[in-house]
Amino acid sequence: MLTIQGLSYAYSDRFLFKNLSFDLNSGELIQLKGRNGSGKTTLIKVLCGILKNYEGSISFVNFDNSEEQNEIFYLGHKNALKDNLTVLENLKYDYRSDGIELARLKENLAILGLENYLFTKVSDLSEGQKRKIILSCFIASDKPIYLLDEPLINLDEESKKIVSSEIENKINCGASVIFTSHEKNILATKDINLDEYAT
Amino acid sequence: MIFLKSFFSREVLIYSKKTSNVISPVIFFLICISFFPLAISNDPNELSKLAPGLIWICILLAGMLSIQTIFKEDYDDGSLDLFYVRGFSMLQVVLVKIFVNWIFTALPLILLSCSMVFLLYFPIDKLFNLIGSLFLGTLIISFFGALAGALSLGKNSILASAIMLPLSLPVLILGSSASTYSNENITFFILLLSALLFFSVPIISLACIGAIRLHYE
Repeated sequence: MLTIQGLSYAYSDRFLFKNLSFDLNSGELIQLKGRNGSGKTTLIKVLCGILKNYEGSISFVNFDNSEEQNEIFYLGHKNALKDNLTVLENLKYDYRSDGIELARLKENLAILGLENYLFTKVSDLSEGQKRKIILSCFIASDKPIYLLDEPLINLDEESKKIVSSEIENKINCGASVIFTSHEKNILATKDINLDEYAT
Repeated sequence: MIFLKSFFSREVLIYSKKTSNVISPVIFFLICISFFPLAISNDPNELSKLAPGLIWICILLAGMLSIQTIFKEDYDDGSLDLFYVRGFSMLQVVLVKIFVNWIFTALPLILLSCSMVFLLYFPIDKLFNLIGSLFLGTLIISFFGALAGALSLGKNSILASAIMLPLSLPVLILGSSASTYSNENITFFILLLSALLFFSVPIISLACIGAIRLHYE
């Protein structure tokens, strides 16, 4: 689905990672590891097209150029939620919920324990609850590639289990996932330690 | 087109919920403009001569309060990242954001300045000159402010002011002149302001896109 060859990214006169190559195949889960500042978030941003000034090649197999951006679900370190809007308003205008029925999003919010917060302003929610709003889009979405930056951050144990099992479901359905985390994920089919690619 | 409509309504919703962004410039403008007759003079002749310049200075300063942070929230909360991921047209993003900001911050000030003409003894026969010049001038200032905001993303707001104020000087001079001169000479200034707006829209929009991109490299 995704082939990365000789990928390097420099920041402030040093390479965060250099000459990184790997393939992401259908049904694969790749965990990006590394110490703080090793470039995990940067790599995710490079892969989804936010950062462009990299060296090397990133090729999406089976998609043409116009499709690439619609085939990726990106969950960043920041939630991209508007504090002064309600949970429902945020979901309505979030591009990650495009094509997903509102009823389905509400169902997922209920699974994550947010069914009573639909009309609550996001500024009144905790960081974990904010994360769950976007994770409700993740659970409902149906994309072939998922790029997730610390998806489990700020979540309680129960929600971590729900999201982890959803990641497993998506892999079983043939989707591919790359995620960053400091915690060991037993489902990961491949680990990439970015410390090994630093210079 | 679908994105444009949805993005426009999203921005309108955000501004309508964030009342402080709309109210702060209005309050600042009212306080500023009402202090001038107290501080300078209460002589109607003197005030009527100074009125166009005073209104323009107050509008420029009040407008600076919100326009400089036009991209800041989207940059800080990661919304700009999403626009890049989905490959949305950044030209549309920039134009919609500037236009919605103008509707919610500059337009109330223009309407308010109509009522201020009585406070400053501004000649009623030149009211349309003032409104016309303000319509064009505030739009140009919004574009300059957006560029200043884009260049200073993640940095001190003093930098944005330092970029925006010198850029806005020609608009301030042309705008206050258009409101001061007789009705026969107004066409010249309005045409100059229109030309400035005509060139600002594409050039400053592209410069904004480039300036935002710089923060992702």
